[in-house]
Amino acid sequence: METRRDFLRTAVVAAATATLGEVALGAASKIPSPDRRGILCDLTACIGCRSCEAACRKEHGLSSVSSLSELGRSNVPERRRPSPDALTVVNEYKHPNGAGSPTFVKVQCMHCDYPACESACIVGAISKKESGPVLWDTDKCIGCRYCMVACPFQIPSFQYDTALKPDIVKCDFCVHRTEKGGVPACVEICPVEALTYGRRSALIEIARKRIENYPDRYRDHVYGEFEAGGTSYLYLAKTDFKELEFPSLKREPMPGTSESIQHGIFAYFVPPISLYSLLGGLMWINKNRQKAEEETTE
Amino acid sequence: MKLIEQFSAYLVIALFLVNLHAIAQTSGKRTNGCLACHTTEIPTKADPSLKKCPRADMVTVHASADTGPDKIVLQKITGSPDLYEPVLFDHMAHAKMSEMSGNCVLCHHYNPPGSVLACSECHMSETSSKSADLSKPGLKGAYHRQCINCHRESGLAATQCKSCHSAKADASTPSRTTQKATAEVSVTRPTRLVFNTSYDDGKVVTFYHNDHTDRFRLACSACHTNERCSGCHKPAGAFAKQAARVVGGHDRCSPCHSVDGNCSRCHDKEPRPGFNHLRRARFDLARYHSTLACARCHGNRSDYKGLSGDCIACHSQWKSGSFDHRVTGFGLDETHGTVDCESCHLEKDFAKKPTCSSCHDDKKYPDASPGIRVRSVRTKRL
Ligand code: SF4
Ligand code: SF4
Ligand code: SF4
Repeated sequence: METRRDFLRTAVVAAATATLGEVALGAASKIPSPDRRGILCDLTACIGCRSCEAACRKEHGLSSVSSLSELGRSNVPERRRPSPDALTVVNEYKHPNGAGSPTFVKVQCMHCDYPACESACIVGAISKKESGPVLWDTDKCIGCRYCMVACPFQIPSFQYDTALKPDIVKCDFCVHRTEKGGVPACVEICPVEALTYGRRSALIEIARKRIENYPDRYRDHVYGEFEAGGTSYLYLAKTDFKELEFPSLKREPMPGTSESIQHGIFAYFVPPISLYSLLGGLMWINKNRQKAEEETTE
Repeated sequence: MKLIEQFSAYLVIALFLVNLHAIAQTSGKRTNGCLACHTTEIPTKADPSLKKCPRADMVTVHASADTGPDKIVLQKITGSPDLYEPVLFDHMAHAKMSEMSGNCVLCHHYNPPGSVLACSECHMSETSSKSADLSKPGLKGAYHRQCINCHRESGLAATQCKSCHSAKADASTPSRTTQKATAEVSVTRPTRLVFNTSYDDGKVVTFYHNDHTDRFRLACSACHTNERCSGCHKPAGAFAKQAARVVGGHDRCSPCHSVDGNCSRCHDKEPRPGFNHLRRARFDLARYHSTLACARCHGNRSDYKGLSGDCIACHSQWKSGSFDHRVTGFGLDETHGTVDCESCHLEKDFAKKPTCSSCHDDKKYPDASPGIRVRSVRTKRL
């Protein structure tokens, strides 16, 4: 496996020999495997129990709070984002007229078919796997946080408490389980089977069938089927996804935009190595400032 | 001639291929395993051991609640870790309630002719994500989906596992398998609903729910046939907050009340007072007859005017002279106390004003009174 140091070494060589900053097109040119997996999240069935949250934390050894009763339900109404100690969170959206049941939304990495984070990452630390997951490589990551900016769902989060070893954290699709034929921890625990793990194409078929069979229950929209070129997590809901704060995205993959940022940078003949030193410098400053902040707050 | 023979040979082969293709296609579509339809893994021709098979065009069942099981212990799911005791499900109570909300099909959504399938006939014990059929929730998911939605809407604390489960490790929660299951369910009923209709000459229709349920003693299912559970099972006070909506217009009332002709029977400009038997019939039910069904006195007369029998039909010991008229709120004076009932209550119609003319030419009730009004009488119950 290529480590960060290896990468930098090759990058130096590459920078020395590069005529014009040439960047591989990344994921946008890859055709995703037709057999890739996905998770269908039926928000009309989700009861907001946060079991998935608890199971995910436990599975990844993220926090001492790993059982549902310890987690409680008190902070569900707050809008939370996935963070280094919760790769997935469940948010509550009140019924528009106040009287009906609320809708709960499980938020995590969508595992895009054409991940913006992957093409934004300048060291290739993030990659889309054939079977669906978008994974990151801790060893390669330099903590530049490009992926955070590029991701249309604001998913990757930065592990601030280990500033010396920068790390980007997000849902990993539980590859360690699925590789062995299992299902992700959140899917396994869900008491109402609001989450279904399986072939993405099959899940879309099921989602379409549900919409057809129960037009009163579902809005005619499978979120993630086409958004940003398609995602592995797919959502069904009764309400408009806008009301649930899902971003309205075009059908085209996002990388187009993020790559143009990158290309833009390289178009000004900024060789990669100087970019890295700039970023590294910024990070160093940041880290120190953060340390200082930590010291003052303590 | 040879050409035709050749052509038909090709045709036969082509048809055969098309057929093969069709067979291959349909068998490819079958996503369920053998056990979805057969009860054994190796069905034979002699014993195909076929299950009753859930098809798309399932038969709607109309079984009566009494033909189903009373209580069921749900114990087919054992998780890992196994945290909870089995759940006691009061099938009878839910089956009876379902008469008000779409009947058995509410839960039993697939039924072959002549029978009602249990959940576990189709929903397997593993989750759909691990099974061959992704579209069908596993048994645990199916149970939870079926229960939690109604319980949550009804405010029955459904997301608290312990409202149905008792934890294995926790001795403080009594085992739900022995407990009476339905104790905590309450029904919230409105007293009066005032409907604002679109009928200009009488916009207001006042509906007294308590009269219909308590006084006329209609079964809930007489009016409520296709409701959500949360329509009645909801936190107290929920009715006060929402304006009464007319759902279904006249259809709700027309099975009992005539809706053609006299609109003013129900429509008015102002809300109306509730049903008052004393005012309508000058006979106070509240004293002794409040628990009787209307038909006990009125028979099956749909207009409830007049009596089907007289008081003596029930109160056989009542004779003129032995009847303490004060129980009606009116005490007879000495002269009238011994008069035959029918002398004043013509044809024993106690709903009509009593008449004096059988004996007196010049007297008229109530200007001339055969006694005095009394407030309350303590008599022994007859
Ligand atoms: S949701 Fe964001 S982090 Fe996840 S794959 Fe898509 S772009 Fe990357
Ligand atoms: S797939 Fe795994 S990592 Fe992602 S939210 Fe579910 S449990 Fe967490
Ligand atoms: S476990 Fe299932 S029902 Fe509970 S919050 Fe997560 S998705 Fe929703």
